[in-house]
Amino acid sequence: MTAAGAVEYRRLPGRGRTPLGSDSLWVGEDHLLLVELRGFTETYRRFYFRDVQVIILRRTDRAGTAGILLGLLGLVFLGFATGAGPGWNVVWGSVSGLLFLALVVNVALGPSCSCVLRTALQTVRLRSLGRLRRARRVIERLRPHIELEQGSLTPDEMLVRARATVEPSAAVPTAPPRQPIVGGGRATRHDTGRAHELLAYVLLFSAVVVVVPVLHFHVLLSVALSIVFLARMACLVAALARQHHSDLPAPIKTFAWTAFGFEVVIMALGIVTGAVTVFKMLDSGALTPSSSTPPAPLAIMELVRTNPLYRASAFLSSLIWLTLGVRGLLLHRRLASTRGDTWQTLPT
Amino acid sequence: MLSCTACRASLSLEAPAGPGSVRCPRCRAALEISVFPALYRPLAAGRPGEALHTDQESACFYHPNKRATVPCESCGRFLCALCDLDFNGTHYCAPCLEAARGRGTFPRLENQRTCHDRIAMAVALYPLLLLFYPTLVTAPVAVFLSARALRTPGSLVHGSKIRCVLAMLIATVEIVVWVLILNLVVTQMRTGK
Repeated sequence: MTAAGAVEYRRLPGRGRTPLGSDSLWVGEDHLLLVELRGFTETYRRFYFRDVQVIILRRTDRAGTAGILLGLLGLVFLGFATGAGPGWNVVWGSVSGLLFLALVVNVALGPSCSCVLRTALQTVRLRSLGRLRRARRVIERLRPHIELEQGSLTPDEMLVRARATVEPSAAVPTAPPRQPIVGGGRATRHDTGRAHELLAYVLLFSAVVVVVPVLHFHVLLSVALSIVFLARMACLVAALARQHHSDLPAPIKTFAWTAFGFEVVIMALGIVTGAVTVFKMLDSGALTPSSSTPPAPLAIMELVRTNPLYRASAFLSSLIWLTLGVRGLLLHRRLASTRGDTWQTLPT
Repeated sequence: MLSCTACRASLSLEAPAGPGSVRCPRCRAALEISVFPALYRPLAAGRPGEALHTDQESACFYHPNKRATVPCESCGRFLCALCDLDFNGTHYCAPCLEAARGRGTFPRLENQRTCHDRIAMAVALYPLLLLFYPTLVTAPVAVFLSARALRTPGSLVHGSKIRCVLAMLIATVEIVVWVLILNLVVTQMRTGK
């Protein structure tokens, strides 16, 4: 049996990182090779140029969300650095600097996207093409290879062929119906997005309520803050539960997940702030471990309130909730206006 | 049929013919769709095996009642249209192709490889991140793995052996350091006596 020679590959730009490895794309003589590195094993998937049907790019909010998170974390650590004593300010400052550097790189790489390649038998997401500009460049590099194998189509020819495929005559054989992309099977449920609208209103209300105790403290305000927190949690859970397997648009789903992610960050920061406050109280003698009488809650609240870290995080939270709330309402309004559209379906 | 990659809503096949990006009617996601002629090409139907009509015709080795159309290039067995596997214009039977795949004769059929050079590098480097002590054991192992990785085929896409060489160098340095440490200890023990 004659041995087929080894194929020469040229690397395409981009590397898709996953928790267990990375993905990269390589161009061979007549096919595109997707290399999935998982641990110490490389898995190869070949897409022959003659079989590539469609490459779809969709702009995503991933880079934007990552940018916001990096910026916020950078600001938080910058706040730590300014509030910390000598020694620690260098550590927090370095962390903040690294986060801002990552933010700059993220901005320089441009908007993010999701890239999907489809052949007659499979639909695969190309993780290495996660940035829009790079993905466009790679597709332009692949296009001549594919067109060399398949030829090219003018828009008019595409229309004619599309109509011939949709309305098959007896002479034109048709391909069997294709499966949906990945993970299909479960039907989507209709949802009006009311839970998301409510969440947006609660976020707006939170944005106002969270800064009031910083300016003027009262026990009742503290109670109100707790109630608002519980309401926010309930709305978040409801929104996430309602959007699961629903027909809600991706941006609205992303809005709920972003609010959830921010809530997690805020809770983590709350724990850190609480720990820092307790340590400061121990240092200042306001709290003595050996003391039999616990300190008054109002005294603790006063210490927390005057903590610059708490004040900074309260104003930052207010700003973010305001942004998220406004975005949520805008998205809901857009959804309400587009729901009147007729769905674009293919004639059977 | 095309579908939105965000919400899986059906898209018209005519949509990509227009200029610019296509907007999904359900989720309003902007999609840049590059369509190629293969989308409109029907799937090729498989060839059925023809039945034997006369005694003079050759029968397929695997299907005695089917007419042979081509011999296998590897084993020479006669194959009907059902058994014929066309691989880059050369005809093989399934067992020969499977055996060739197992031997790695066709790189195009390989769909997985273990990167021994990466293993060698990990064994040489990771113990350094923990503590230096494990390298007493892992350094010789890393040298052995690097030597083995030099002989075995590495990644399909980059044939460089630089990782093996680097792993071997690091492991060798670790061994040299251990020899120096042991030499120092032995010298001190002797002078102590």
